Amino acid sequence: MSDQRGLLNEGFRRVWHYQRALWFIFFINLVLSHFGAAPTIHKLDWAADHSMQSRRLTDMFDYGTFSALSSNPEVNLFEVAGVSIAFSIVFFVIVLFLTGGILEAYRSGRRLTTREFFEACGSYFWRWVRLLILMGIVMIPVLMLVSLVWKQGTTPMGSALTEKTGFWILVAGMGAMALLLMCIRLWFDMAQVRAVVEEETGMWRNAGGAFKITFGNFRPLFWMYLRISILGWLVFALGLWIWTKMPAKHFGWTFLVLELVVLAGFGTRLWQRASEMVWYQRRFLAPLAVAPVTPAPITPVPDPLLTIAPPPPLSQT
Amino acid sequence: MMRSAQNVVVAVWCVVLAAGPCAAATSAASVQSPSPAPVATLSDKALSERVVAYQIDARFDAIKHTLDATEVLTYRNITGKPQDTFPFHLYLNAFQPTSTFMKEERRDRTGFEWKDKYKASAEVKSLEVVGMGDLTPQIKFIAPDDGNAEDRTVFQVKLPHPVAPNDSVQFKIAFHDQFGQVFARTGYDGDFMMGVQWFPKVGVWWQGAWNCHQFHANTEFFADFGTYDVKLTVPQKEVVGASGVQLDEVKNNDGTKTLSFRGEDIHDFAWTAEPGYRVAEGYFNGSMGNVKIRLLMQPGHMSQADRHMRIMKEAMKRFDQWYGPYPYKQITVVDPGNLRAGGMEYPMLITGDTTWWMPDGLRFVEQVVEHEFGHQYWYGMVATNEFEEAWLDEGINSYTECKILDDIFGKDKSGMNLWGMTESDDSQQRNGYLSAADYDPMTRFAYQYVNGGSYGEITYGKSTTVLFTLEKVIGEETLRRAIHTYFMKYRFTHPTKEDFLKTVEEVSGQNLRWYFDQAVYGTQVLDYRIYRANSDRLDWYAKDPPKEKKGETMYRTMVLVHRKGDFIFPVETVIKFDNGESVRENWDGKDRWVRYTYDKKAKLVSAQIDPESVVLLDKDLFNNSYLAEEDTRARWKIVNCWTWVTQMLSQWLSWLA
Repeated sequence: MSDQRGLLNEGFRRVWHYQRALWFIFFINLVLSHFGAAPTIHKLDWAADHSMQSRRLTDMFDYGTFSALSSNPEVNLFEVAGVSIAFSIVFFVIVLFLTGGILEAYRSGRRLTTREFFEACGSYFWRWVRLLILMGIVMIPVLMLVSLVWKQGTTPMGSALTEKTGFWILVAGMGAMALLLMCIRLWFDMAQVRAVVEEETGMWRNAGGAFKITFGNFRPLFWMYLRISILGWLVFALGLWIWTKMPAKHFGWTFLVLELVVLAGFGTRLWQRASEMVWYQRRFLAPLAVAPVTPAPITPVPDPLLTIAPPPPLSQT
Repeated sequence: MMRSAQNVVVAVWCVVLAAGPCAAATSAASVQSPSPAPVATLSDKALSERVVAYQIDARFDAIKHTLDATEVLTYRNITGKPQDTFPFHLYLNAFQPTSTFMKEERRDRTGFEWKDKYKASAEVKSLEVVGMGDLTPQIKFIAPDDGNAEDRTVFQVKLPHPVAPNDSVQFKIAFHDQFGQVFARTGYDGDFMMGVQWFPKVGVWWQGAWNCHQFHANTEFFADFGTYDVKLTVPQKEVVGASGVQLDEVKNNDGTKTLSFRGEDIHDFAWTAEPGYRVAEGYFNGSMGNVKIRLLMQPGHMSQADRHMRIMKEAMKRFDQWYGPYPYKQITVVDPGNLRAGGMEYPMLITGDTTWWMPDGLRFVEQVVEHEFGHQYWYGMVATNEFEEAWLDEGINSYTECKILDDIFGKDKSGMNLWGMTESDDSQQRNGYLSAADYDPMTRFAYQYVNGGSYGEITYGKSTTVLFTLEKVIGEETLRRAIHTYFMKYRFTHPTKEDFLKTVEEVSGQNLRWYFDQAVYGTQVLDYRIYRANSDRLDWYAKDPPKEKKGETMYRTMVLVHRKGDFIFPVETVIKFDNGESVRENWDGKDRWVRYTYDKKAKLVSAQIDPESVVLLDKDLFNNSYLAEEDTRARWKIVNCWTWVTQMLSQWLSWLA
């Protein structure tokens, strides 16, 4: 496993080097989520902005006041939850689209031009859709298992006699399900990596190949994936803990902390992607096949994604 | 009983706290032997009229979950009339698919499915009246509420000749119970057993007629005071708790033991048995001497025992100081093995409701235990009719629960103080009321509410909110005195709503019919709002008016207060100006609106109805005030949170991409 040395470092380096992808995703996420939350602005402005009762939400956070406000028939805050869900789905599609460009950047190890980036996004998009369908098929039995575990865990929790047993069944079962889902995700991550590196077009074949690679090298791959995941969870937990400790009236700062949590979530996910790419390249390609990560001179072009190097020919699919 | 909605909280928190702290193995103050030492019985003289005297000898089969018993009921006829017909409750028969109880469950609970394991029954094997012979053939099931011929929760027996006034009659009844898995309050779950509503119980002669309702999904109980001498034979491994006090324990040769209990001046008898109970004991020294507090905790819940003990002592102290003494020598607090048996009151025995991981910041444990203890007053001693006037016990009890928890934890934190979020118990009650504000009056019979939701929200939530708002009218201290007077006057009797309302009027010295007619007897909704408030220059018409200057420019300020709801209530409004001046206006609230106009060298800062925020019946507290300058902080705080939640949802979803 000597070729795995420094894998995470190299993955992190590529994320850092191509950090505009991270900021771009974060920015899109923030903007779309703000759009998702926008209807609440209009629902709340007339009810809350001129009311002294609102101080129970700013100087403190009185849940009873929030509950009364949100369920007020003239506000009915949660009826706009569908808008947030819709924007989340839009964001999902955008990420699916951007994944090709991001992986291409991680493959090349250099900054892509805007044109290269979006060409890669477009050229891989429908392949990712096909892989998504395959992953969905694989996940169906797992999700059925999740449902079963949920029932097996929550039913005994209704009785003190079996309450703890139920709880641990739930924790262990859901933990196992999470690991299983992560394995599947890893498998399809590798399928995406393989498709980019090998310029594979047949997604059934690609999924099969990725399956062999993933489960043939499961320990190092999963260990790599899991370590980054654990770091992400720890940052998430730490962020929430800090959030609960901050004074209620400093909601600007609390929002900043929560945004850092979101940013860290995306960062760790991209780190996984980059590390998977590095692993694949080290494992299956000649050592010198990876282009050096040397920034080329910057061409002053206003587009935020546009970068330096002349566009190399991109394999067409 | 606590509202079942709170059990939803349990389920939700199970998930939220999946990674929460494990239960620490903190034990209660004192964990003692499962066999409590005998305690002296109540008192030399009867506190109630003791209409009934039950002597029950019961044998419980913990394997089959059956019970065979003989019951000797001595009934004193103090009705003033000869009585030849006696109705009896057989509550356990409610747990059958064709009963009225189950039909109402199916009607009100979406997705409710019958399961055979819920099935329970009580069968009268024989009924003899001393001096009149075997009257078993005379047993006739009746359905006085809905005529459901398949409901077997009430039977009546006609005697060959009447019992004269002031005479007694003795019934000897042999019966057999089959318990089901706990569905509501009674039954088993594994080794856990809750024996409640388990014996044939005579109805109450009340207001000139027999009052013996069928068992309904929303109803609780009503019975006469008396004495209970109960012998309960159970396997020796069982740890038992019961109403009354334990007098004796005899070990039998067949691996069982017989426990003798006596309860005086109580109107029901409940018991529980489970081998795994851990016993913790403490004492409260009240104005009528020491009271033993006996906790029966689930082994896995011992970390919560201290919380139970602490809230019991704190609640007993405040009840003793504020409302009246607890006269019994013992109270048993049961941590049931099944959540459906939790949060319920019986004389001298209550059930709590907790889980092993319940954080201190969620006052659920305290709310339930305090509430059920409060029922020792409102139901236990002031024994109102829970079938017909459920708000009298649940409502007054929920109000006193809020007052006590507010006093212990602080007004804003009596419901929750967790992760920077706070909530008062009062607010939880009020929000419940808001969700079903105008379907039913508080005075509706419990089984006649539009559904279980309305029953719960009105009986608990609205009643509490009505009493909090009453504080505004007569004062907090006066209301406390009124409740104290009501308790002292009507304990060990069956008062009605008018008894309570008149007591409040007498103590306050006010005619409060205008309030009670709307709040208690009506479904009117109270909602006053600041419809419009602004300051306008008096010289608004001038072509080139001088520049506005604070303290010099004259403004006309108008505040329009609107009665949006149909409930009429006096309205106090405070208007503040930017020169520091404050004006307080009072309006009788009868017209649909009132306009206040002021010409001042000052601009409006704010207008606020009910500045002390005590009229909790007001349906919308947000429209009670108007700030001239908008304050967007609350809105942005919520929007920021909403944005973040959407971001996280998006992030998790994008994991699939």
